[in-house]
Amino acid sequence: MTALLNRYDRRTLLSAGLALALTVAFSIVCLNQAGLMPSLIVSSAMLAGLVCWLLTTAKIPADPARVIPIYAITTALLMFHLGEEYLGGFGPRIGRLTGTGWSESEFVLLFCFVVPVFWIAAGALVYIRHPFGNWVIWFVWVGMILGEPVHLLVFPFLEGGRYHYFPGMWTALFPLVAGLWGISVLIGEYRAARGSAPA
Amino acid sequence: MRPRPARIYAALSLAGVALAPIPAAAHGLIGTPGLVAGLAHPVGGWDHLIALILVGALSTRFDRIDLWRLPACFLSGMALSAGATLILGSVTLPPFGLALCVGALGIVLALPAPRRNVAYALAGATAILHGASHMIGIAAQTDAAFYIFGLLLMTAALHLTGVFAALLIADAPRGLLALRALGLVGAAAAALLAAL
Repeated sequence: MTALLNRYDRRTLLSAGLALALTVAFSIVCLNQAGLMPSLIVSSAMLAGLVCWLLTTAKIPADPARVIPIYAITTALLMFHLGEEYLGGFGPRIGRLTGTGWSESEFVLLFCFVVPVFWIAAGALVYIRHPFGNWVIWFVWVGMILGEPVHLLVFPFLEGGRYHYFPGMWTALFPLVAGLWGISVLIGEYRAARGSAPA
Repeated sequence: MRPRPARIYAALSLAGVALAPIPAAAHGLIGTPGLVAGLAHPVGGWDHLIALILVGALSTRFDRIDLWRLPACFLSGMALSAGATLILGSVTLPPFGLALCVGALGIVLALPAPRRNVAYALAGATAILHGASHMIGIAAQTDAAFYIFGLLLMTAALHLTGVFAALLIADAPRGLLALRALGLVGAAAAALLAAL
């Protein structure tokens, strides 16, 4: 345990602690408002993002010039996707399916006003090569890969068992592609940095 | 006679208890009072969220031991208050108590040199108010213990969020100033909660 802790500096360890605490809190917020399945997707993305980050950019932060543009494109596409979800009443429909009664105003408050605060702040933190920002971009990009396919493969079956349109499915693949792009750049950057680091 | 600090802190705590809570904004019981409802309760409203994060952040302004002692003080106060409310029955209390406590926590965090005793007294008063208000509508039954356990677990997670976030902010250049500014933001949020 001590050897593991010694691999990271104080800022990285504090960031990991904050990431874990936020994972617990945000998963419960999602469980409370949206139900079990969305909560599992979010918490899995946060934890998987944490592991990927600890293995890569926690040691060598990503080059802001390479990752911030892709991150900005991802969040822009995500807002576009959230727009489709809003227009189709995604929140209330998920709320009915999971029995939580998630209202439209709660959905808008969480995903249009609270969560974007973290997205924007994370961009600034990546710019200054802060470890916490590097975790957030991992979480967002892993979240795209874990969460967006559900819009096409699972949600359309949930109402009545017949495959049909479910809010968000037309635009779900856009942020997914951006997520894959971002992760490939992150891994490539990390490998290059590790290769050029002095032994 | 110049009042002794201990008396001021005691008066502050009692004032907090006397003002006490309307049902905190973190409310509306979710389903039956089990573990999940307890976990979900503290994140169901802004006042509780802000108070818990502020308590965690405030604990970083003192010695290293206070990093766990101040949140532990809050947790034990809330558990005792929740237990007492469960046994004695629900309480009806006048408005603004909770928002006042959140505001005071924010102001203490914003001070250049906050007093440890004031922080503990405020955390204790806030814990008592929150503990009582969380139990409104909860009957004494087996699931109530799980509900309180969930409440405490989630409260601890939110304290930790405040602790880690504050330590990270304080580590940055001019971080202490930023942390103090965060206290003012918390106090402003409390004023907004009271006004809404």
